[in-house]
Amino acid sequence: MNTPLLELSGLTVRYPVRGAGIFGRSGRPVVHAVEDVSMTLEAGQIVALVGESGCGKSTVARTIVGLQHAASGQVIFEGADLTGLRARALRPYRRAIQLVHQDPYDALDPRMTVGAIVEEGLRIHQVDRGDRDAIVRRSLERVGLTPADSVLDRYPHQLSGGQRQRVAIAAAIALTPRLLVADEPVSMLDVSVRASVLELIDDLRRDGLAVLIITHDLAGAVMLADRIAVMYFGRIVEEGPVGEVMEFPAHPYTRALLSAIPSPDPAVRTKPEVVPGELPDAAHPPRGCAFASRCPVAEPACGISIPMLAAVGSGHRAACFRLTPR
Amino acid sequence: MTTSVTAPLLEVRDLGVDFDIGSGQLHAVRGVSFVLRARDRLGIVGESGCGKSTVVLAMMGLLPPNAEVSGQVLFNGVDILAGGDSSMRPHRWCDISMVFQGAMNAFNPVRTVGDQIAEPIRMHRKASRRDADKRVGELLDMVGIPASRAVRYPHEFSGGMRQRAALAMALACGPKVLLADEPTTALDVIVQAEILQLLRRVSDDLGVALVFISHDLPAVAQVTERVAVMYAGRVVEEAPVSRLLTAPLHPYSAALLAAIPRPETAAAVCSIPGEPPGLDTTVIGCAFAPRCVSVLDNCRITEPPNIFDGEGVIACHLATSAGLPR
Repeated sequence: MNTPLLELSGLTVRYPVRGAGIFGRSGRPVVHAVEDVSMTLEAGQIVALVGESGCGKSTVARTIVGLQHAASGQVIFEGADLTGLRARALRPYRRAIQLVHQDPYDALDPRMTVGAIVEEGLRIHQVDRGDRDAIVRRSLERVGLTPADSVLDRYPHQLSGGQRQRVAIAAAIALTPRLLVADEPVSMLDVSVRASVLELIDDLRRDGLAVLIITHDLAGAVMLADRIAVMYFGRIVEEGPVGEVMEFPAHPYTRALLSAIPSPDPAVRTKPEVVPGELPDAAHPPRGCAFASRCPVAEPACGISIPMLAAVGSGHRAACFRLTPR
Repeated sequence: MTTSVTAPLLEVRDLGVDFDIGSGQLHAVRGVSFVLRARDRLGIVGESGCGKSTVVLAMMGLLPPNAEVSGQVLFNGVDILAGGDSSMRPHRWCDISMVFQGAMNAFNPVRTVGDQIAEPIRMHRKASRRDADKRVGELLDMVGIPASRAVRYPHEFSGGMRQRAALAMALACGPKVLLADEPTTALDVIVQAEILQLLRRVSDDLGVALVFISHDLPAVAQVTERVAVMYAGRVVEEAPVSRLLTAPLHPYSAALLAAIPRPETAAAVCSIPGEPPGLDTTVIGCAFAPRCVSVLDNCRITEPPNIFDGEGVIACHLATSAGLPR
């Protein structure tokens, strides 16, 4: 009975680099987007996957919902490995796992009414025609767009950003998913609206919905999530319960992320604890720890081999050679 | 007065912007006034659509033809709005320049970054190609990009580097006033912290006055000394950043502050229920009254006047009544 809702096991995703030799198929360089990512998510849990642009967090999301093929590893949902399934067998899982996109301005078809947008998924998944209207209304009201009549016949351009994101969430929950994958659901929204959308996601958990929230906003992730996983350059570098990770950040990258959150106290000047620099080139990954080039505590050994995730506390793991004095 | 050392460098007086949209008028900015002296740093915060970008576009004379601008923008005591484009042109980019919203994505992909930074130098300063290239090297160096990268194309730059390059372009002609519209939005936290540091350093080193627009109050607090909070086209509170972030007087400022997630304290964030009024409606009373938790009867009838209290400006009936701490 202890099967987690979602388990990623050694998930690896690579993209071929286009234009690398017009004819040459052999020896074509690949971008290592996601490397050996393993994590679990229990029913009703909210897990935040945090990292910078280009760290592979959106690729993880796209692979979970089946928009991207895994090079190796497994996506196990309710005990079934989704990576091996053909389109027909995957269909019920596509309904059970719903994706909310980053940009509510682009994610909604401008020529469809709100009602039609929310109904579209129900139609595709062949929900009985007579039931759809009630489900659409219930979903819209569940996300706080009440009364549903006030928005049903409106078009996306008539709504604010926060309302649009609510419509996108309504379209997702109309299909009664067990898992919601939210890719940067609030990064395009105003600060004042962000809080209300995060509150809504938190509230949906009461319906037993599990949420994987992909974000670069550590502060927002902290207020919502039960667990947090920090990604850097395609790998999870630290993972654990939110309170643990916030109080005892073990990986230098997590500490850098925390130090970079602008303090609302003007007397406290934020200064990121990181060596200025960029992510390494994903087509030519470094041999050792990918963070070593920016790490304030790196030593020569960090450039030789890649550190593996190891327990640093209860349910708390980190991948760094400099965790324990040797 | 205008001859004293502390004479205002830039003064915005009762700025108003209406857009004629055929079917009626949009009141985007109403009665905005502020003063900048050399080296001053002012933040303008508010939700999307509150008019903050319109204010700075009006200061640059870059609004579309259907905009009706009223009020004055005085640069060294001279109204640069009065004579239309011909009076604005000598000041644009040379005295007042701007980092546009989304500037990092606005580079021409088929021209090198250095070439694009050189363009305003050659246009406005009539510099030779050789002098312009030399200046580009200095500018890139100042914003922390190796001068050798000038010959590279925008796609070879990361987002943070393109934002630095956009800042270099804005500084190309040695402006006295820099307007930065959401310069850190859509950047990762670490890059954002680096850009905030850079803005502070550049304005210190060059003695440039800065207007920093953002919806992110903590980011603004990291850079500026004063903050103006805009709501529905009006500045509702302007105060030193330390006071605004510790003891805001306007209920809207307080609500914005409460919406900031703070990872170090587990305090719940509070969203601001409701939406700002539509720009096409004529506001009766205080525009924030329908969303205000401390609303008085008078708030729905008369618009609160601007009250100066020595340190700042506040437009709220509560500030005039006895109940509010001063």
